[in-house]
Amino acid sequence: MGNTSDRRPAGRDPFQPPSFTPGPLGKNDAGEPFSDVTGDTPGPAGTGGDRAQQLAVDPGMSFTPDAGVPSPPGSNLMASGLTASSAMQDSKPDGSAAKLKTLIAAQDDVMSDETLKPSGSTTHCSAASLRVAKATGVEWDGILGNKDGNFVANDMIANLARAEKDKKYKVVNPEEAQTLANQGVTVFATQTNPGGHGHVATCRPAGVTGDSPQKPYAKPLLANVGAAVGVRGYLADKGHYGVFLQDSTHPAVIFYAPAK
Amino acid sequence: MIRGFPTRLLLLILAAGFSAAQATTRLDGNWWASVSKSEQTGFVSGYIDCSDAEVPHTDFPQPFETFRRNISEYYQGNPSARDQSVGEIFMQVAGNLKKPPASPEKSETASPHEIPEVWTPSEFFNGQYWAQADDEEKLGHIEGYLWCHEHRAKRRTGVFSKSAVKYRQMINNWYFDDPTGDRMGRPISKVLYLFQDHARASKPHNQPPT
Repeated sequence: MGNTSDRRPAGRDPFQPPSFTPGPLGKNDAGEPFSDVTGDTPGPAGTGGDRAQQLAVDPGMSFTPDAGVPSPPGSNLMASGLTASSAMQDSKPDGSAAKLKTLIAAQDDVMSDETLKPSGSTTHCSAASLRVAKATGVEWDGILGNKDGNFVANDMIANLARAEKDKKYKVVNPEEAQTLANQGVTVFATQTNPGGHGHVATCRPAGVTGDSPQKPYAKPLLANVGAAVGVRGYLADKGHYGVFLQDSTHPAVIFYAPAK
Repeated sequence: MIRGFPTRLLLLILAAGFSAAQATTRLDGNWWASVSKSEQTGFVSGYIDCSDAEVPHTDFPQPFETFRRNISEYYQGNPSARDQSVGEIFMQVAGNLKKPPASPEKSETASPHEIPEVWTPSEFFNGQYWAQADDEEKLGHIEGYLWCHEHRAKRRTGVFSKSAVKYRQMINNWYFDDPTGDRMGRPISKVLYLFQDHARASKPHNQPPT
């Protein structure tokens, strides 16, 4: 990785001098145990993972934010091999690189917003989903919320089903959902829960530097804002870490993408 | 011989105590600094889960993240407090956070009214939460729950002598090896009590929290 990192032992001793590459996530670990910020070398080799490449991608970007200062929306995107390098390579006339950038920034925003983090009595999947919809410009009025605010998840999901009949949204399968998310399209993963709380999340592009969904997981990835917050696979079962339970007792997980 | 016996007894007690201390992880500031953010978040959620289930008249309305960050900041600002347990610091921090912020700063795309999904505690800390949490958060949840159970529960009913890693595995298996399909709605606290120490479990007063 270009010898940009200090390779002092990371360990777990909070009194050790900090290394630039202290732990597997580069976050909150031995070198800077109380820090939430991302450290050096957060991603896979050769894809935006080291400082040299990061600066090459975006010379104006500070690689290691000051401790205690929240990362600006889209900083993962800036540091992302996916968004910065592959998005450039993947530049298409339809502006998918820009869409990708916007989607990741919007998802980073909701996943880092403390007001959307769970308490023991509240979760905010619906509010987060509306924010992502607004930021990415997909149709939301009357579907995900209105001028007064967001609808709750069960209502959102019922409205998305109606919007599919009205040809505003379309249902896609999990593979298509990941492909579309990788192109910067906002796709909603939904599961209704009659008599309880439904859940909704947006699909996360794969390969964003700094994302570390626990493996094994099933794609599509989600930018989950719910009982837990972070990038996860969509399916939670004995073989996968993820978000949605899907078995004979749970309604199907349905993915909605804009029809146009 | 008479003078030597108490000395040897004292040394024996000290040695046993030292050995026990080595075997048990102290959940203090040094431990807090050594674990991931996910595990820290899990500790907070587990503590709150235990409070909801076993400590009457407690309420922690703020996001887990607020408690987690405030605990970190407390230890950062008070290096001499590193030997104090995280649970004690949690209580101090919680005492200073009685009310959620009146008007938290929101992003430009935030709606005028962001309506949350509102849960009862037994709805929240169940298999759905367990499924979404990653392994470190689950581990922290057990650690936080058991710390609260050990130190705060008014009528401590269960004994849990296995490691948090072991309980995590047992709870995972219980939720995901589900022959009936109805386990996910069961509170984590009740599932944990299925795995309390058997000897104590047979005593009449030893019932799971309601």
